Amino acid sequence: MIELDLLLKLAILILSCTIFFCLYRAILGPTTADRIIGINVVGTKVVTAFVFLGAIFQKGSYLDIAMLYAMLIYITTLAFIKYLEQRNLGE
Amino acid sequence: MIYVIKTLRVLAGIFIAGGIFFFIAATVGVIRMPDPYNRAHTASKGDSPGFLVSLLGVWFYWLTINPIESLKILIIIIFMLFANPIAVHSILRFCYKTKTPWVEETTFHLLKDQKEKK
Repeated sequence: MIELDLLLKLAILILSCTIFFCLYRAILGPTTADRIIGINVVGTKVVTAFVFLGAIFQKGSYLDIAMLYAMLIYITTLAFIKYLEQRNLGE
Repeated sequence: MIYVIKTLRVLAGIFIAGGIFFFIAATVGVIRMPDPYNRAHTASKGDSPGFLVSLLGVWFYWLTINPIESLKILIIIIFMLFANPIAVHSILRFCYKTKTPWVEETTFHLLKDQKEKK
């Protein structure tokens, strides 16, 4: 039990390191699509990190936050793409 | 009963370590690939097994703590399994419509004939 706790903490540390490397692509990407890809990858990693946090503290409310963040990242990507393609969001 | 709990926890550790390996592979691909098309391909193919395997591992761990709350993890897995490839596909379609240049090593262009017919 204690070993699994240590493994989850180490996993969160590695995930946050890789998030910084993906933010490099999201900030300095040469084209617009590169930035959106970087934000999408960062969102997936943040959802996984929230689920790990819920397993460490053993509380179910962290899973609700992770579910909501997954839906938010999906809607954000689709809204950016739709705005950049058509230059308007409605109609 | 205690053997079931021990087996589930060992499985959880193995699955979480595998998921972290897939995430690291996705990050290396996103940084080092030369092209938005290649980057999107690596991001989608590295991320989907990453969250699938690691969230399945956390699900095995939650089964030993609180089996009813663990259903939320299954909902997250099913939603993201549909949402992540659709998002990356829309990014690639945006890339192709705005004529983003690709690297010269790319030889396959399957949509070329379709465009000429129109």
